[in-house]
Amino acid sequence: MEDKSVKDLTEYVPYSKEARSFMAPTKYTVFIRTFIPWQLVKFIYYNLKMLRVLLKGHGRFMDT
Amino acid sequence: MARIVVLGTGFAGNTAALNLKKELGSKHEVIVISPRKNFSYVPSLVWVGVGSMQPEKTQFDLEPVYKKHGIIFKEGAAEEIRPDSRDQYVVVKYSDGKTEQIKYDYLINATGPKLNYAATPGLGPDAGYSDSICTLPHAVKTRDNYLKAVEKMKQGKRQKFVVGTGHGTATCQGAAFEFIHNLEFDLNRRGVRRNADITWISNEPALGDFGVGGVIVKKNGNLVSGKLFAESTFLEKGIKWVERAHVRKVEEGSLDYVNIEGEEGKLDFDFAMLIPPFAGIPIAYIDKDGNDIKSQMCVPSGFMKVDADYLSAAKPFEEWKNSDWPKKYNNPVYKNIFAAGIAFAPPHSISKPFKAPDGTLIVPSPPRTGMASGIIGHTVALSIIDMVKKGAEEATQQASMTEFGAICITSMGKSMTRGSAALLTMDPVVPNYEKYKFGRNLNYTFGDIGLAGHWVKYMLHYLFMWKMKGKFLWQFIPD
Ligand SMILES: Cc1cc2nc3c(=O)[nH]c(=O)nc-3n(C[C@H](O)[C@H](O)[C@H](O)COP(=O)(O)OP(=O)(O)OC[C@H]3O[C@@H](n4cnc5c(N)ncnc54)[C@H](O)[C@@H]3O)c2cc1C
Repeated sequence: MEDKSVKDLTEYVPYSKEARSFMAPTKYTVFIRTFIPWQLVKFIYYNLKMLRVLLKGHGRFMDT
Repeated sequence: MARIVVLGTGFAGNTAALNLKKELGSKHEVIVISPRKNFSYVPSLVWVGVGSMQPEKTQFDLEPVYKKHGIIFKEGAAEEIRPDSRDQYVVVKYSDGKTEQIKYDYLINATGPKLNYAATPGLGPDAGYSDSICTLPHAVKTRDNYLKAVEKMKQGKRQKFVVGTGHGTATCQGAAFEFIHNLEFDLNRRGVRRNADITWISNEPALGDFGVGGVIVKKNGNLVSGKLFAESTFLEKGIKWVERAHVRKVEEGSLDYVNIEGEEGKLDFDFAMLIPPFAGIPIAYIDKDGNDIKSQMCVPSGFMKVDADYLSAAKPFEEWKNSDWPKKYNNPVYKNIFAAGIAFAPPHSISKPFKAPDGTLIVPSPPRTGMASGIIGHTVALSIIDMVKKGAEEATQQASMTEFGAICITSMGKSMTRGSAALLTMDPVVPNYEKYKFGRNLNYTFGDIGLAGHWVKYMLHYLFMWKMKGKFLWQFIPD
């Protein structure tokens, strides 16, 4: 049963409630997301990003 | 000699136990109590549920680990806590029905959640019509039902899949989000995607909320809402969605829901994976006169009260403050009792609560992810170490979810060459609007989607299994 609270953006409907905040990956974005040489670079980048959050510390400190 | 009793062997309990023993050595006793002797790496159960990871790879036996580290392990369930008799003790029930009183000087309740399927009629794999991936047996059952649907699709039959949350106050939207993407990915891999209709249903105020009030990230020179990213993944994969919804009941092959706007709807399904709401593990709290003091020790949902401001829950969302959130996780009355991980009672949700016109509360409960649970378990352990070694009268260490950040990797398909995951770092977990305009430090809050995210997720599986096994250099792997 379909009803109006089920959102479906597989068909782009101009001016629809769903189209108001539209974003979808382009073919290039989809390709690059599994393009291994680029993803190897990203893997290093992600690890540095995560390390940054970890190095900032856990917000854990002594109560003095 | 001090005796520290830890209830539970999840991320919180196991992290606490290993750290306690490392610092306290053989002079003091660390006892761990849990009804299951296996550690379960819960984040990978999304893969077990679609048959892309063997169940055994997510589990290991804790007994040899504890033996090696000199931790005493008791395979039983805590049933009762006596916090103020002269000898404070926990009553443990073993599988043969026998009980034992175990005294403690310090107690950590890290018992995680009770999966409260009963909150929604017809919800859950045991007495209902939906599946779940919150425990290994449930994830295995989910996999079996999923593979039956795949077989039907191979014979050309269309199948309807519904994935999401099974109640207006459920949490763990991230896990459901991972599952729906892994399901979609796996259906493609098996060549049957064209025969599947996939629908998402959740209680989030908007997609991408994940119970943490959503997230804003920097992207290509813009500040962008995570909502757009979450929606774009569904658009790309042809997944429909229902948001802001409370599931009222689940029946064989269908569920009824109402949303914040009061719109009622029904979704038909051949397969549904719905995360239940969580409650605290039912443990009795009895005082020295034999009176039930559970209402003093726990909030109505059964989670244990800690140093949070529980009165703030009655205030409107706009008046909530960061100081509402706990820092030390000790019980306000019994300062030698702590709660860590999912077991502690948060003061209120992180996301803004809404009500349907009939008064039904629709708001994700705050997630206490594996990383947060580990950080809190470790913090509590450090406080107890100070209390034991330095004679501190109460907890010394602090870690507030309004101060520490988290790394979340949301799997969207398991394959080393074609898989992907959304990597999200956020700082802090609970948006701090007093400090940051968009609630979080945008220099540390980051989001991206791609294959490298899957590699990270896969790496973390083995890294954390290593850490939880207490293997060589485990202490240097961050919580
Ligand atoms: C499918 C799924 C995917 C997830 N993915 C991620 C992810 O990718 N990243 C992330 O950070 N988080 C993730 N999470 C959340 C994460 O799994 C939890 O935050 C974490 O497991 C909580 O740890 P805990 O130690 O508080 O509780 P639990 O892991 O639930 O452990 C509770 C422990 O208490 C024991 N226990 C229960 N009753 C008793 C009793 N009466 N007496 C003694 N012991 C008892 C249990 O046996 C268990 O050992 C996911 C959750 C789910 C369900």
